[in-house]
Amino acid sequence: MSAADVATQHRAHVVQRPWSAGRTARVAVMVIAAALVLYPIIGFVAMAFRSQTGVQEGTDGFLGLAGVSIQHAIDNWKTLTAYGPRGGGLFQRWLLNSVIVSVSGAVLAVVTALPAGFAMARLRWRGRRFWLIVTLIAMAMPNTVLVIPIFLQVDAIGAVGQLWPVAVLMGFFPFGVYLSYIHFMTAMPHELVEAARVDGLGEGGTFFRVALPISKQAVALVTFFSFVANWTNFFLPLTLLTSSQQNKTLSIGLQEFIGASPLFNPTSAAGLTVKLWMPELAFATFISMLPLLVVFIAAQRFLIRGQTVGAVKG
Amino acid sequence: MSTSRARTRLLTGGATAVVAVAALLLAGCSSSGGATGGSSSSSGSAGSTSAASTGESGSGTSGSGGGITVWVDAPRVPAVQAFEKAHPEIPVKMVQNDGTIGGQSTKQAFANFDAAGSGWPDAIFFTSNDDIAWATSSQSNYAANLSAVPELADVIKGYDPATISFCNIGGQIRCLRNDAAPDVFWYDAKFFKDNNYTVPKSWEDYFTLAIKIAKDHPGKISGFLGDAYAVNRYLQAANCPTNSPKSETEVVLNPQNPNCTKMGQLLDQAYQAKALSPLGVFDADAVKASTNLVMTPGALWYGSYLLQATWKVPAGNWTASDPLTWDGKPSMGDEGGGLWGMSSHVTGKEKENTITFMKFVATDPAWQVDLSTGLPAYGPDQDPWLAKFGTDGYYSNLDQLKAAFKSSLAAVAPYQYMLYDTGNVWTQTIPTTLTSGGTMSAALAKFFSTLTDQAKSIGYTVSAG
Repeated sequence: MSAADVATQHRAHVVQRPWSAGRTARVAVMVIAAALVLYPIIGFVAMAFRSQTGVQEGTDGFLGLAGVSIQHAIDNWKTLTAYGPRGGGLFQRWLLNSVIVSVSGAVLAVVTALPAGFAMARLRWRGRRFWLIVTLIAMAMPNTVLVIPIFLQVDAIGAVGQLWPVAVLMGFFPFGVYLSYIHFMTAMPHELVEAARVDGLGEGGTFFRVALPISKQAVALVTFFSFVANWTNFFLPLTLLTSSQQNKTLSIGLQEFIGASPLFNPTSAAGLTVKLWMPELAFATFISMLPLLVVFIAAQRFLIRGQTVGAVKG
Repeated sequence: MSTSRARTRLLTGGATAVVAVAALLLAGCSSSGGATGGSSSSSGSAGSTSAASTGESGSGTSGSGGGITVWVDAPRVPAVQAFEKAHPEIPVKMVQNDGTIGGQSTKQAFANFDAAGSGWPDAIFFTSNDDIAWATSSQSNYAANLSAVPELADVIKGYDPATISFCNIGGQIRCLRNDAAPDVFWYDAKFFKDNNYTVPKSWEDYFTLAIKIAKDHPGKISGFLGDAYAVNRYLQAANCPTNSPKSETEVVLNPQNPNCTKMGQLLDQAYQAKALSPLGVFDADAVKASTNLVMTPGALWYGSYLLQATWKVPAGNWTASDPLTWDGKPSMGDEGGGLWGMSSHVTGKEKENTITFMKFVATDPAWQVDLSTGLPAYGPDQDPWLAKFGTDGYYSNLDQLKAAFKSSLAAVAPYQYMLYDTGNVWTQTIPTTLTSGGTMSAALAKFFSTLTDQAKSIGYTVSAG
């Protein structure tokens, strides 16, 4: 039997597979579940590309899809960028701030987490177990516990309202340390470290010349999770950046948009010249999602491979 | 072994040295960096971040030269800009804060400033009137006693005592009112004329007429019950104690108070007669329901914001009349109207400039008459503002409406803002009970029960009178 015959037979088998009650039920459940998830997402994305007039008049059809247009998105962008005192521009500024702190925080997290994870996994030193437990405790510690101590420390050095303390604190990423630790424990055989030492490499050389080149997945994972955590971090910027208009990040800026929208504060927003309605708010949120999508797509190849980090002991 | 210990000691010592050097570097860097601006309890100077260095003000430099930091919500930004135009000699750092009514972010930020002993803004517009409660608590004590500021004595005298009563805390004026938002009696004059109805004078007349209209014209409604301001619209107007502090830690909350039971019965009867809607005035469905609205007590901003802009009620029909009476005296609620606060921590030149700012935003026509959308709370600005109001011909009987606006100012029933959010408790209990088929009596019982629980959980001692 040729390969072509096998393929034809396989296709025939697939096509002729009977629709049993169980299979029909499974597909139906999956379709319903997918619809439940997709329905609000499609509605939300469509809203970002609609106009307030269409929303108000209710003429945009199912999920507002009939009212979707690029021109509306351009108009919504113009309205958003006009928001703020003295000619607007706050949205772009907050977007840039988010990029600055998220990227800086992610770079710091990678730079610190990978060597720390390597040291915990493959070096023998006093207190190793203790620091591993400390890392796990730090991972589990809720943000709310740290608000006042962090604020007081940053205030003590006069840096409240500035971006750099936020980036530095975002670089503190114990989950990344733990992830790196698991990676080096499982993906890097002990024999490799021994061989490097026999070849005369020191600890630094072993890390940079042996461990790091085989850790692309770990770097991608730590970068991805760190960036996502930084980009969506609300509490830290809220605590440290509330008193600085220009230095807010998008996560807390979106809340300010909501507070200034006639939809949520009808009376106080009555006197606003720039009014942010549902399409503008949805567009701002949509824009804030884009960097996450870009990072996810860029890291996807490594993420899929990296999912098995820790699954099999090397 | 000894070599290992020596190495450990060396490493520990080295690590300590690195940490110490890093800390010194950070501290050194910080001395040239900016702080949050605003007041410091130790120096009383404005924050070290100059307006120019942050690029937030664009009005020049600050430092210790008297620059002030002010926090405002988005609609009050023009007030700050008008001040900068009028006083270019005073550098202003403006921070636009979260304008969410009932939001907690401002309160949380101030808790951090209190813990740090620095960072407060020199002046603030309180987006939520409830904020004045924590800002004047002994724990925070942020809002300065303006009664003790001689430069503001004339300003305070310019307010109707009822208008500024929300700022009168323990006999001290702790804030200045931006705009007044007393309730008036709104009605559809055309509907009344067409059906020969007489405009009610008292609350009892209003409810009697509401029931009659609901009977004569099924579907017509005479008010909304489901928004946070409804508690002011009805219970405050009836002098029902929901927000009546006896001291900073003691509050009177008594559902059995005769005023509460009487207003409760009137609301219950009207709701049973389908004369009142369980919706709130800001609900999306209220737009449709408003086509059946024929009268309602409501703030004077209902006219321009709700009737004209949101509900798009046809022009030429609606007007307002004098406040309704309760026990023979004019008595209405109050729905909103923002408050300006000044920091008690500010001193020196900054204090002088902050007082100038407070005076400007509370009284100056460049803001209050030319730019503000609400009726100025400051008496002398009211006539010039009213002269510009309603010139588009939207209202019926404009002279009567303006007279009603002015007479309502003194009719506002006593009410103090508390650490608990009465309006929020109202929206959590009343509409949910009503829409699930409950009576107004049951809804009010749930409201008082929840309010009492919340007051106690915050630390208030609750008494019946």
